[in-house]
Amino acid sequence: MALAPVPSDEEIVALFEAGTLVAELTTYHERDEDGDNLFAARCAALHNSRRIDLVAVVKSEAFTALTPSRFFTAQHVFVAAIPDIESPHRELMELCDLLVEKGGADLAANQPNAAIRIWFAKHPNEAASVVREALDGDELSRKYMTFALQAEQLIETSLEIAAQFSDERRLSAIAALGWMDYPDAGIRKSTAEALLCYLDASEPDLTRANALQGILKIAEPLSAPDLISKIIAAAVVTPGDQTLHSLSVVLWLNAKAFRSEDKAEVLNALKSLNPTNKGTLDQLDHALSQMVSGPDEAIALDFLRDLLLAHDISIELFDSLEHKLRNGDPQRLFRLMIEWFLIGKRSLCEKIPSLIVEDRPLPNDFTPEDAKLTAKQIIFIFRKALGYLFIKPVVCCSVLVWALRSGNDEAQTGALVHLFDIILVSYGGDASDYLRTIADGDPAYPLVVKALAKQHNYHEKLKSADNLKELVPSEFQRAITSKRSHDEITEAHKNAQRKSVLLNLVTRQVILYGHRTRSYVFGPDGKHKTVDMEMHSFSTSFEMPRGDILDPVGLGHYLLVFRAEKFL
Amino acid sequence: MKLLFRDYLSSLREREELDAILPDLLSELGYTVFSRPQRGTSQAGVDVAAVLREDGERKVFLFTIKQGDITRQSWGGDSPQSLRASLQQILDNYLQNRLPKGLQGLKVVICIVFGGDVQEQVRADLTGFEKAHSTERISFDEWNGDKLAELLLNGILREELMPKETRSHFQKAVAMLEEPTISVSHFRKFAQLLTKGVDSDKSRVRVARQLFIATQVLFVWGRDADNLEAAYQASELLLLNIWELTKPHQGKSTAASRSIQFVLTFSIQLHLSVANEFLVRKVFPAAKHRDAIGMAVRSRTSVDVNLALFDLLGRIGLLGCWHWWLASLSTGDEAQELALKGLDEVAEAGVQLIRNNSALLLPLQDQHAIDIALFLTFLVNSNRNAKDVRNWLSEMVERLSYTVQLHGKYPCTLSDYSDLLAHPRARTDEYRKEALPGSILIPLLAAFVSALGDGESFEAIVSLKKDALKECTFQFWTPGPDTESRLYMSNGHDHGVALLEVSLENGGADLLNWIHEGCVNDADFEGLSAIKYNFWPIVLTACRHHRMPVPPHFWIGSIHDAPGSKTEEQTITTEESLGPSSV
Repeated sequence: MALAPVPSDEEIVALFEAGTLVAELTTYHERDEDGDNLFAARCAALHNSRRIDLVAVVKSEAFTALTPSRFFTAQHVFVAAIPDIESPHRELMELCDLLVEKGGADLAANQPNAAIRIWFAKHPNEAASVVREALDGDELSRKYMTFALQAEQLIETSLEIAAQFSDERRLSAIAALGWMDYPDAGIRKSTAEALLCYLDASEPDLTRANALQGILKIAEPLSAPDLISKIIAAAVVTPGDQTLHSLSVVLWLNAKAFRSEDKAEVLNALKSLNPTNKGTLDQLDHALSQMVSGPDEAIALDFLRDLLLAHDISIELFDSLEHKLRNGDPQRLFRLMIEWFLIGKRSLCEKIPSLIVEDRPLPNDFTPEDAKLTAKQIIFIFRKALGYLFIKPVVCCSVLVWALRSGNDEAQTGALVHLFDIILVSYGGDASDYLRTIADGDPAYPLVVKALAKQHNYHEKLKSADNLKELVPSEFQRAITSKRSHDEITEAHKNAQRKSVLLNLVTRQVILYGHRTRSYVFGPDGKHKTVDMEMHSFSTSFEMPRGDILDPVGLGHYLLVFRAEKFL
Repeated sequence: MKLLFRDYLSSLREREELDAILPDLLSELGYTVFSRPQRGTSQAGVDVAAVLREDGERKVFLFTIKQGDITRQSWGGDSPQSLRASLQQILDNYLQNRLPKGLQGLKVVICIVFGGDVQEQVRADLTGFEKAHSTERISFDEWNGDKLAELLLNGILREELMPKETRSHFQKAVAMLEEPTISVSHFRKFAQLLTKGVDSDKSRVRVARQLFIATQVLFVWGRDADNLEAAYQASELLLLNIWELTKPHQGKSTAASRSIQFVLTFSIQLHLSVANEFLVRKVFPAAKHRDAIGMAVRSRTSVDVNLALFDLLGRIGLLGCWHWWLASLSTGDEAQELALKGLDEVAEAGVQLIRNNSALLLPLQDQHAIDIALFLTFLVNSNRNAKDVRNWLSEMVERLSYTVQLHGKYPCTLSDYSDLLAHPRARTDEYRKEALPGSILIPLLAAFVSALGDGESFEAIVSLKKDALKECTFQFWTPGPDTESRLYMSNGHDHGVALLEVSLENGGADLLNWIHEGCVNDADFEGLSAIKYNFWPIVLTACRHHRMPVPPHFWIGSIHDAPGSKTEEQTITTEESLGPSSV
């Protein structure tokens, strides 16, 4: 993308006067030699000289009408300009307030707060005024008191405010304490301990929630596990929704300071979370995802299991964790699958297909721990796998081979029957290829060979009807089926495009002819540059199960039974 | 056209094919046929014998028929069926002993009939034989494929009798054999044009012969193309058309009646030949193997598989019924044994087809009740595989319950193919009411599961009727006063009587009694010509072909008396096993 040259001061003024500065704010501009935002600096200087009014620009209709992506381009200019603006604090706070409000729920919406914190640090008198006005009850100042306290490092003042008030000024003070730089560990520790009282179960939920995050931020650098445990122990007593949310946040952000038992305690408390609080689930997702692959993996996975059992929530809400489990250690995934299928609850089992997306073999050793399973349990597990993962035949084969390795006659017989009747009759390609990789000497080998021989025989017998042209659907039927198939694929393609994050961000171009594209862009030197792009095809394929064509009702019935059956 | 017939004639087999068309061809050409081909009796070399007045003089024509080309093997091989042996038998035996007395003084022409040509290496032998045995009284003639094609086109199929438009449809039917739906539609139009305005005995006989030859051409070409679908459907159309033409002649013994009865007999044979060629030779061996038939449909949608399999099952049921009919007519232990063996083979194949193709455990279309009824009619009346039937229907009811309750692929009355592909378009009660507003399948199942003592399945149906299918109209169909005139030729469904208010609440026995009472002494059913003249499989053929429900009269007699107690050990008496006539 070519960057626009930075307009001169006169041009910026002219744009402001013409009411078109908003458009310029949403343009990416060249940087100066040091990489600084020259356009933002010019805007700040012009605002300071009263030749333009940036607050008025933000209040303008054109600015209000900006789309989110264009707004954040403009916001970027303001964030760079705010620390340099020379204006009364109230005007600055108004400007930030408008920008934060317009940013909505987006994570980047709070960027102006960071800018005003820098501004407060540059203007200590203005910061002190904001604190004063806030204590006097001024609504706007209350919002910005945290940044003012923080910019001025007012530790004692903050503790006093927290003790003196019980409204959001206490919360602001606690929040500010969390962000301060403490001169030594002693002050840090005493501050943390002074705040512990706000974690008491008798305190309002919001106070506890803010206190938890603030205290942990202060205490974390102390490397004082006992203090951390004390903080956690206080926070997990009858937590409300806000405290639970904070617990999820600290479990993610302060995890390094936690001992395993602290994490277990936090997660135990989080079992009572309200599953409609998506924000809490998001934080929890980050925290769990962080724990997986680490020493506390088992705690995280046990919690996930218990949470899914307690609340029928989609695992897609834990997208980071889902991604990690899906693409991480296949051995872990296999064990998780075995464990969840053995439990057999729908709320758990139906999450497995989201975790196992690729149809590839999974490490499936039959461990000494597995040997404690009864034949009925093994059968129960592989039938669940068939019920939930039927369209991933290689994965199903992995589970069936695991059962064939059990050495348990009853389980092996059952697995062999299911391997042939359900999988090998329906699938020919990858499933058979995988089974052929089972080596001689593997406990499953003789039975796998038997199943493959049966499959070979089955395929040979299918050829006996090769010449039955009479049964082939008519041209008319074939045309309608193709049309329907085409329509379904087109619709699916459209849906995928609608949901695509990528396609919503980029400009779409459709290439009708050729296999490469050529376009021209302006370089920073103002010259044309040729950009060639070779086109490549991408595709995906999967094997249609034969059973779905030959007997969809029967197959559906089988799979439903496998999914629904319970272990008695 | 000539090439088409030339090829057709060269592909004809001697038995029941070339010798089946020759007498009709001769009759059309003015010959008086006095001896027709017979099976199992010595013919002394003569397949067909006829008299013709030629140049003012009556002559005897003795035809000996051979298939395809005359080769060294077929000319002088060791077989008594070789041409040389046949000619010698005519000279030594037929002319000496078998020629009817009134014809003994007439000149004799021995005609060698073959669909192909005389191969070069045999020519000299044949000509030598003819010269050696020609006398003033005895002469020889050769009717090869070219001559036969010429005779067909100048005789029975000449343009005055088969106009251009009619021929065009026939030619298209042959040309489109690989696309059976199109082929059959042309054949249907061909038959309609041919039978239009037929108003005399002579024209009825001629049209019947033309239809027969055309169907046989389609069969032979289909056999060569290894696709008998069009021929199968055309042979059903042939039977129904011929029956319509034959009706006025039933019970009469005029020359025209006898002639058309011959055509009917050969048409039945032709239909059974096509069915045997398709079902017995091609389908039955594959039916023994799991999924082989389903896979042969070569489709990516389960709809095609389901439709094809139930259609096939109906054909097997119909073939079984024809065998059962033949068995009831056959006399003598050997013939009976042969017929019963045929019944066993068909029944076993049908059961294997079901066992190896689980799509047959539930139809997608309610109208496949017709095919199920055909197969059941055959099985219960011939008392075969009662245990298998019970298991099959029990599974069908289970799947019916499951799919209806879960809004799955339950049987529907939708007929549009796109609708079937999309079924179920919605998983709602409203859609289900639209897709299955009435049913002939479910009451049929209720009757049979009840008769077979499967109370659990019967209760499952009762439960469906009380709940999910409360508004679905269960019904049977019986012929009405208007059925006789519509059944055989029409594909319309608006004739006959729908028996409604099928009550299940009082149990299976009550249901069977109710059906039985509706069928006993039903004048409309008994009045159907094919029933009256004991050609009842024609009615079943019409039901299958025109997709009309099988009247319960065909099966109720066999299941009514012993509801819930029929097991595989029980036998049905011969009288019962004769089916509709026992009602």
